[in-house]
Amino acid sequence: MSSELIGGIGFGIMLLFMFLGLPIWICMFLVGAAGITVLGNLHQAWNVVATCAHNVASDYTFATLPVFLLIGEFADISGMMNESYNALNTLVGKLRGGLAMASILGAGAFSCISGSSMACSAIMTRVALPQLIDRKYDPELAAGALAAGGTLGNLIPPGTVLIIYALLTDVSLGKLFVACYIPGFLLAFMYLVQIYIQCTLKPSLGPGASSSTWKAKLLSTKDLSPVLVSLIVILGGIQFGVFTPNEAASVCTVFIFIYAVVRRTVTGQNLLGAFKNTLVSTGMVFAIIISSQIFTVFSALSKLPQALSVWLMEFHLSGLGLVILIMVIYAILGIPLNVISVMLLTMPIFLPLLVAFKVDLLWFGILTITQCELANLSPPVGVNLFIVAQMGKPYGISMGTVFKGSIPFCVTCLVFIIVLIAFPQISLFMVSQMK
Amino acid sequence: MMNIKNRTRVVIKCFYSFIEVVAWFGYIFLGGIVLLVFVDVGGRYIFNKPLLGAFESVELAMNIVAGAAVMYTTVKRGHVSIDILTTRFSRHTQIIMQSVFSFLGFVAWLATAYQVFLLALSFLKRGVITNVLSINCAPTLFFLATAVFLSSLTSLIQIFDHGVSDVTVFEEGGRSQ
Repeated sequence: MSSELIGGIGFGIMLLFMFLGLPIWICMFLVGAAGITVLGNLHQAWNVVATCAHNVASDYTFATLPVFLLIGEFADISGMMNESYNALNTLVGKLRGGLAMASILGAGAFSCISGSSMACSAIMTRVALPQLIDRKYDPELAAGALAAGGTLGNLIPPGTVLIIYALLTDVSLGKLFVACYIPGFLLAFMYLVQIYIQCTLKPSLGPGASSSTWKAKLLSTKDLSPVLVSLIVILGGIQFGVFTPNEAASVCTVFIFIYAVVRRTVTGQNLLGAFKNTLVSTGMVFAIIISSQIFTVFSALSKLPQALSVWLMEFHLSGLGLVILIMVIYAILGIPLNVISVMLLTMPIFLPLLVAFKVDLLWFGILTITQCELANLSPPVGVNLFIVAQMGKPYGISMGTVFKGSIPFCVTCLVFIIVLIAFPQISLFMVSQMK
Repeated sequence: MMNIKNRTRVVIKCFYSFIEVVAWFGYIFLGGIVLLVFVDVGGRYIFNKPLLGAFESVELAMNIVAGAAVMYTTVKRGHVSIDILTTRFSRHTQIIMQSVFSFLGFVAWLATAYQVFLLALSFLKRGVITNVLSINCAPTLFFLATAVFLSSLTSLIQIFDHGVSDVTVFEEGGRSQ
């Protein structure tokens, strides 16, 4: 049996196990270790297991992940998200659909300090949904905006998936963070435009609130200052070479923790809860990164990526063609799988292909993460939709309402992906200006 | 029979209490990493004197954080899986599948723990130390191996204790992915 065939069979078995509900890390671990044993020997497989566990655990880049997760926890404890949302509401609430726009902007603000789509959707739903319903916003628009806001969670740095992508591909995390800011803010802007158009065409969807005075608007910006300071520390610090991502994360964590202590929102219980949640998320990512690296070794030994590469070259496919093909595959895989699974599942196979076709991995990373976020937003299994539907139950929001509401945002996200593919400069401009 | 059941319950309770103690190492070292890096940055920019060995200290501390993290995630059943098919199976089938998955998790964790333990042992024998502060690298690796071993024991318990409804993955406080 050829090694490529063994690689293909291994990949198929892994997929089967995954769909049977076996935790993803176990699928990749067992198939990877078994595959290395078949293609090499048992001793080699054990060596790979030990080395991968040690390398990932003591990787300085990996340390960035729990620290950024901790920031999100502290931000939630401090209550700064409620204030930011209210401030944004004062600023844009007057516009048609202004409250829905404030939800998107609030999600963008939360994304600047936390790296989780799910957390972003959950927190914004908790903060914004009661007000949206109170102000007679159309439930579909409200639910759609809250689910869509979550997609900014991973795209605007620091995103958990960005860190995982950097670990998987060896792309500079600092560069990836900097590259993501323009696309992240652009997607938020496109959502705002879409809401505005929707509410202009059908004003009953999102009635505008009474106008705020300039004084109130000016005062409200004070409440945005913690988010803005965090953004300056992370973006400015990394962009101008002042901080590494880990340093920026630590400085921000201390800053937000002090802010929460000053505001007397920290209790022993919620502090412990913050650390526990961080540990759970870190452990989940740690396990799948180790197993993904084991699977990558198996994939390399099987020479499956090289065989695929040769096969694709026979079609005279360009780098762009390959990227579009991968995006289509991701769109299909994104229906049943979640963000991290799609990336972990495919990266060991696709990464050598992308390198062979000389595709810019920063650009591809942003595309991949956006595509995966689209999967989080798309019916029928988008995770963000489930969160909004679950939390919206007391307000009479059904799963069907969330599904319908998410469709215009899915279209916007799809257009955004096409724009990113057509204009790679959007992703690469900031990096080219980096010191 | 009842006596054995009660004793098993007590042992499992003690085990989870021990897990909580080990998890505290994770919280403390995670907080430590944040402070260490913060002090390093402050020292570098304010006093023009960065903290000696901050980089390698973070790397060593991460062994402890990562170890505690995987252990705690296993206890809280926080590992990602795809449940679109499994929810369609009968409850009985789901229970059997959960037990099989827990067994496979036990095997995978046990293998990893043993291999990391061997690696730590080789580090100890070779006297592997960090570059700047000359800290012995083996102890944190032993911690990682122990934490992973505790994960395997947790998976072993979960073969028989497959209930998931009573476990809250997210504690009160903030939220993460």
